[in-house]
Amino acid sequence: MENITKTYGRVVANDNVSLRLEQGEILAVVGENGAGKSTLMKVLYGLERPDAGEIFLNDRRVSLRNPSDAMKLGIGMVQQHFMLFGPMTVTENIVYNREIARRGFYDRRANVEKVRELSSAYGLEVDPEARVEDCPVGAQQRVEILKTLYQNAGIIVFDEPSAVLTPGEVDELIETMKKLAALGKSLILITHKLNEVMAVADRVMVMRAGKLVAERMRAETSAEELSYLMIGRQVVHRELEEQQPGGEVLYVEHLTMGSVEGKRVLSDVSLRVRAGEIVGIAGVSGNGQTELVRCVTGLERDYLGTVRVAGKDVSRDRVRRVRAAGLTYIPEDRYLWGSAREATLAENALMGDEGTERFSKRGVLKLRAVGRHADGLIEKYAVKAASRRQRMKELSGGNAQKLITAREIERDFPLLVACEPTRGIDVGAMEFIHERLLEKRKNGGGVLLVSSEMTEILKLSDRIYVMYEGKIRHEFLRGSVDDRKLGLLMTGGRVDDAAQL
Amino acid sequence: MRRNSELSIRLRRLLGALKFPLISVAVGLLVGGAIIAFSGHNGWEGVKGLLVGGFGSMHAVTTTLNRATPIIFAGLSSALAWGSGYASMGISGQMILGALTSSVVAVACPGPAPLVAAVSLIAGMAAGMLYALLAAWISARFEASLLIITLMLNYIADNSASYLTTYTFRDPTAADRLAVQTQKITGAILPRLFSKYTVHWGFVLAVVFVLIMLFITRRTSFGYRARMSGLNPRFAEYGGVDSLKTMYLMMLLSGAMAGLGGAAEALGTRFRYVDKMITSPGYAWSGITASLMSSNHPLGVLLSSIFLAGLTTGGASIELTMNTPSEITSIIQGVLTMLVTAKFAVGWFRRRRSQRKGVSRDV
Repeated sequence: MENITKTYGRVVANDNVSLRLEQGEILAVVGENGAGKSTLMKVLYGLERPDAGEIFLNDRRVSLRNPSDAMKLGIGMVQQHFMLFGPMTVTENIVYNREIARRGFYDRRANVEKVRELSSAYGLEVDPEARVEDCPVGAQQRVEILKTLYQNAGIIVFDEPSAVLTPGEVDELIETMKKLAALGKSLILITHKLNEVMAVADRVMVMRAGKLVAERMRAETSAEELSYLMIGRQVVHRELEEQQPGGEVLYVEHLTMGSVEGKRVLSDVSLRVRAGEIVGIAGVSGNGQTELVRCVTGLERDYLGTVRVAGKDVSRDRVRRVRAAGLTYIPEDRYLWGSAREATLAENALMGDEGTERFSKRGVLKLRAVGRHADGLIEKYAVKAASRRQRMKELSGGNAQKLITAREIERDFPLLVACEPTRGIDVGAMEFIHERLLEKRKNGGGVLLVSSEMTEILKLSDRIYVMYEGKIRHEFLRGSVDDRKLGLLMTGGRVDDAAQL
Repeated sequence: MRRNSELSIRLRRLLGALKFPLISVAVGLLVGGAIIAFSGHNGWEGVKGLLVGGFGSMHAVTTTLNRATPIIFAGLSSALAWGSGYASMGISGQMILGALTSSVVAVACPGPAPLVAAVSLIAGMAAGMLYALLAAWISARFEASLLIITLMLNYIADNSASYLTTYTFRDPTAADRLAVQTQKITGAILPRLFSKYTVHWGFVLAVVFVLIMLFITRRTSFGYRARMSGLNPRFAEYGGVDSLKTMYLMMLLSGAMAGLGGAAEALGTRFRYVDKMITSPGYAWSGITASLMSSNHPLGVLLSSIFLAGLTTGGASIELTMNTPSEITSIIQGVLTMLVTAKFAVGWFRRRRSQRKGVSRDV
């Protein structure tokens, strides 16, 4: 792939990226979420068309308009979310679209036989006649791999393959990948887990903010160097005013949550947030932070353990009650959860308060108060808008985020859970929101800050928890950890590795 | 300056809201004209005749308003459910039960006529509510698709009503022994507004309920929660809206409007329940079209319903004067429905896509 550029609106997802893959090689592409890895692979698999750049296969220029072009050319992809038909059998899924037929009819026996052959040839153990939805996740992934092999793929892309697997399954997967490479297949592994990279890759490409920033042979690099390349060195200069934290506003003890696949998404998470304190949760996204926040805020109620907000036990309570106990929440996705794009700014500013005495009387809204409140928030947070009657979708991302932040912070509750509060917004808005969070701290509020931006965590937090694979691995006080060490721990490194820094 | 921009924003929003329905109407009429021309008549004259026949005289207007009455109720019913994100297709069944119940009660209940009429209307409304409640309960209890359940319940309501009218409540005095209908309601009816024209007090009732629903959806905390659930269910969940409670309440309201619509049609126009009186004119579908055309806004429902009813009146009129096929109106309404559902689908997909892209989750 040469000089691939792909933009989505104003976001440059891939900026002039070139990639080369040798036969029988395992190439790892690493980078944080949003670094552009997935986009690059979508281009390779024909799911997205690049704005510029070319793709060559065996020195021949090819054009990939859709995934079936890619498949015909021998490019297969094992997606993070499996593309399988649950109620159909393993065999049916694998041969789908290229069934062996006899007199125009699907020949069950021949197809099953073919799958069995493939399965033993590559050592990928599956039951050809089991229904896919009854198979464990690891086996489903093997079905995906067999699907690409059945289509004679020479190049197989693995997109975050270990995200859904248990540790045992990950080990098997690593063995499988090595075996495939030994048999002459060329593999690309997309991941942000560096221990896997070090275990399996021959060569590593590091992406950051849409650009290819480094390329290393595995033998000549280390997890530590890679994490540094991936996250980058960021200098943090922001003195926090010393202040004594007050009482506990958030108490989480032994929080454990399973998932459908039987994997533990959260295991035994315990943490505290006190008044007048910002507590950061550092971690590459997808390591349980989202689920932790869902449990704490009441959006998810199927968990074990205890959650107390401002001293009140709200374990497994509904959102309304958790909020009433004193929780406000900036959700990680402003349009998916944080607002209604088609609703007006005033309507968006009201959410959560529509039943309070301030804004309603016997169920009837006090429209004047609602309007004044919205105008107040817009003004105080310098939201660039012509009127509160505008629709949310007319605002830029940064301004939408400001309004959501305003709504939650100005409620003046003891606890604020802020998730990725500055993701994808401009520097000005980011600074503004940071200042508001610090102001909240100064006014005696407790903030739980969940962010995959290490800079943000280091800049604002009094205390930092590191999450990795559903567990809280470490806890640091402000100043007792630096970006290198944190970066390594976030990507699954161990303390003794870090101690050597 | 501030006022000025406020005004221009309001104006822009109004125009934006009107743009699509107007385009749909124009395209619908164009297609109608083309078909009239195709069937060997003057297309332009046809469309003109359609509009004049629907709205051009006191007689036309009152006939149209009479026909619009059940459509307005159906449209409100649909707007309430869909506007809060609940895909209910059960309007037809709820209207049928409303119409049958009120007809039976109006005949059986003794007392002064106006009081009996009121009781019958309330009974019809209650029937619609209960039937909607049943659908909501099944959907919540068994986690089944509300759309499918409401659709299936329509058949049960329709055929049960046929059975009941054929056997249990059949009019014993009917001269025509084949007529499947209940006994004629004598006193407890919704009287006409003007003695010469068919439009009755049910239309006034419909307008009153348009205003009530406007108030509920735009001015109450409950309406706010429901509307936000319709625009983005996740946002509502995040804000602590109890989606189950909202669904039950909204389905009750929606069922009430449908039941009342059926009852008003029975007490104001037919004076009895006649088998298929709701399904064969397609009131429920017209109501759904009206709510789609108006993006679930109650006032828009009122206007769209009157327009759709006018098309039918006009269609009947040009059938007589120009001898055009009577299917014209159905075709125009079909085109309209298609266009508005296409818009609905496009909007829905866009929203889904933008929600998925929302913030670059995994570029």
